[in-house]
Amino acid sequence: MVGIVIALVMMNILLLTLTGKYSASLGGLGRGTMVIISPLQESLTVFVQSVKLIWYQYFFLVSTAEENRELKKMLAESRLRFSQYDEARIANARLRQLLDFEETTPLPMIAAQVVGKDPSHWSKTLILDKGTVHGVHHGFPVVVPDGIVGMVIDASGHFSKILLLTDPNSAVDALVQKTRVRGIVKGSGKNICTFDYALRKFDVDVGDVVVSSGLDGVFPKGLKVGRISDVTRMDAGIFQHIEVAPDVDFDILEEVFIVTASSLPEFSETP
Amino acid sequence: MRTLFLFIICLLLILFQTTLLAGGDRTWLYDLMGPYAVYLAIRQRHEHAVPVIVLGGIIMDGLSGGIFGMYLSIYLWMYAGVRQVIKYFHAENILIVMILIFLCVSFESAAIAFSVLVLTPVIGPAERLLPIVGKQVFWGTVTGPFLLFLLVRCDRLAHSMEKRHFTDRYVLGKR
Repeated sequence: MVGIVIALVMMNILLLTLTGKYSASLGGLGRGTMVIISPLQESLTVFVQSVKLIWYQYFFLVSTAEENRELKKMLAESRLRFSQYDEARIANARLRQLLDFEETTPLPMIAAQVVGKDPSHWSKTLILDKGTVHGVHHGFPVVVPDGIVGMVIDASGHFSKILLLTDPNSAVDALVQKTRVRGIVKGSGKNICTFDYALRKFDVDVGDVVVSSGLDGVFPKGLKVGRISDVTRMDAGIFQHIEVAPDVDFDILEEVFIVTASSLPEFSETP
Repeated sequence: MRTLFLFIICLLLILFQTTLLAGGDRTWLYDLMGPYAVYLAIRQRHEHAVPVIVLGGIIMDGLSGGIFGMYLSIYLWMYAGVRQVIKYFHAENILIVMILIFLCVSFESAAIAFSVLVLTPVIGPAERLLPIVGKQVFWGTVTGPFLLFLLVRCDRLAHSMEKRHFTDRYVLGKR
């Protein structure tokens, strides 16, 4: 019995090692899952957002109106109107920013909405509502006006999975904008990335902007990655330890842009 | 019918944790499928539970960014382990249920953390992962039995509805 269990464990580890190494062969199964589950995730997300909207904009105001009906009614109306204006103003600003970004960007991009998030804390992925029928394929970069979000790692007909910049498996070839020091920005699993392979002799300061170099063939040159948040120069070693804080807030991402270009021109770098 | 019911519950749990719960810095968030696997192992028959475990594992693997097959393997091992344990212990005992959930959540968190550690060298020292695993195990052990209790109640409700439905049909048929 014990022998059988040990054999099964060994076989399981071997199979997982193989699937980890040759993940493409099982991509179909993963995509199949996405095709079935992601529409449900999308519906649930939309439903919950609608319920939240109704709750905050209607029921909450109705329940408070019971205390002083007339006064509260007026207050409720003003609040509702204010809330709608405020929501419209925020949405307007956000969409305007997205639109400006889309218009000033020399790349063909499509907007996508986040419909699902990674079930595990250990890997950082998102499910988007655009897939191969919209022209999205594996390896396409995903961006927002604040900078790089990640890249598409799997795509089904109407949905795609993206690996975030903060995932430990993510890497972007990058430059420090001011000094042109080159390195690789890697995810750490937290909301901070590391900037590896920057030689000690180069001058790098906290607050310096880090942009993509375009040399990895995935992300266009000049896209903002983040700002340097910590620099440690140790006595030994040829590299310095640098941490980069991405400007993108990955926790509140709702809309993103998928760059659908096969050839990637440069972005105009803006400090 | 029963398998379908169990699969729908499984699907609801997965949707709940990948849309409403996921996101942010919720490191305490453990996989709800862990307690569900315990529930399936102690309350359901093989022919109903195994397909649900397999489908649930495949769905979680498809949605997750980790190694494909990781969740499937973990669920199957948890299921097999719990089935073995309840051969020797009384599965209705709340203490046994709590211990089983504790073991399963610990096993799952540790296995996934280990895979992350092995596959991604940039993740840093292993000590960094311990508080996260600890939090997940704690919350799993504290809230897992309540989830299991809820699942048992749902199951009883569905069972009584199913029984009433078939009894009515039988009585009407006699008439």
